[in-house]
Amino acid sequence: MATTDPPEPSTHVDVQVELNGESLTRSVTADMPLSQFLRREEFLTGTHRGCESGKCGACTVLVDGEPVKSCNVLAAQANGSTVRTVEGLVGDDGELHPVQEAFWDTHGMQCGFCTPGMVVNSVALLEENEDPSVGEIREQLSGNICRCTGYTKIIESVKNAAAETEGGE
Amino acid sequence: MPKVRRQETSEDVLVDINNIQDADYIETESGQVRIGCLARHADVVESETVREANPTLGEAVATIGDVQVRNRGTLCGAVATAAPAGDPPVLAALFDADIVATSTDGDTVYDGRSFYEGGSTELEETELIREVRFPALGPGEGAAYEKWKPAGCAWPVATVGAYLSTSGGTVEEARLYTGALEGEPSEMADAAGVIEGNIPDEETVLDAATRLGENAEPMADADGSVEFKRELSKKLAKDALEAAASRAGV
Repeated sequence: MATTDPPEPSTHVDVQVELNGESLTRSVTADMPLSQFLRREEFLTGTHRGCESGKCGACTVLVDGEPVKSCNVLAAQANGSTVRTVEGLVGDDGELHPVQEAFWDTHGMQCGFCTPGMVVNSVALLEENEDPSVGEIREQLSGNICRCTGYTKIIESVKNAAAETEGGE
Repeated sequence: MPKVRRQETSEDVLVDINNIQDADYIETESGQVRIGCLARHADVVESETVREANPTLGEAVATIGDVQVRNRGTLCGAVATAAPAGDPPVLAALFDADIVATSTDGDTVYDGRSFYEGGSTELEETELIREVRFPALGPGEGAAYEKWKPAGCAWPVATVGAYLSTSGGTVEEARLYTGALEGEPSEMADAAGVIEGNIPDEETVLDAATRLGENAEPMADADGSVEFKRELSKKLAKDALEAAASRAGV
């Protein structure tokens, strides 16, 4: 079945990504998680590494528009993808994204550690569903843990962001 | 991936299969739903093909992990990984899926019912699951999958899958599997036997569900005592059997 020789294993892999609107080519170690690439190589420290076990969701980013836990993806696997982190949500003029604005206004956070993941995953939800129910918000955010247990305000923030976006358009 | 992330593995070669072309298919052929090795859980959940052929499969996969996990994880990968509390192994066993493994020597098809043993699988080190085939259910057949997990994104503490094949209101074949309780899919043949040849009425279902709970051998841990897990599995079995019977039109 194999018609071509397998690629030669190498310790480094060239990766081309569109990261927050900017095209980049980087050489990364083959086993580097995307979360580590974003923080250590690109200094995008808004993506938080919480549990390192795929549970907490603090490292959620959008890969080709879909929310994923960036500790569950190798940087090498993001080759050819569009990656959007919490930093990429801010407008060119530095204006906060409506979801960020709503978290700010509603105080949808306590210590703030989980906030980037919550915000990014909420953006993904609202891009698909303009007016989600509380149940849909809870389901979407079920993979994002808030250790301060501030879920009520977080869900209220997403509701407010949806209302704001709807009202603004 | 978890081992790579925690730097607990030092393999010489890591092969990323994500660039295999056209391996993310979900299609029906010869009465089976064929799921390619790059079809994500999210694809299975959204698949109209799965919804029509085997809705229980889609419903069960929709409860795996969370949104982010379902966007990355694959059904074939989870069948191979055989996580002790994973849902896909239970589904593969319950539906006796054909697990198609490939290597440089060609394909081997494993039976879902005998694939898991002692916390491991029949897969050889050189094999990769390239496709899993689930049956499309026909008239008179019904299945259901019930699970309990302590939090949205947590691993389940107990799961029960039920499959019934009926004729004229009577159950001809019944299959019951538990997951998470014993670290791998466990067939509960004694409990299933209670239903076979009978009408799945309230009394019969209760009898089977009770036997399932009593025969289960869960381990006590932070999620609950043996007694708790047994009681929990009785309730899940009752719900699963009632739903499966209703779907089978009984």
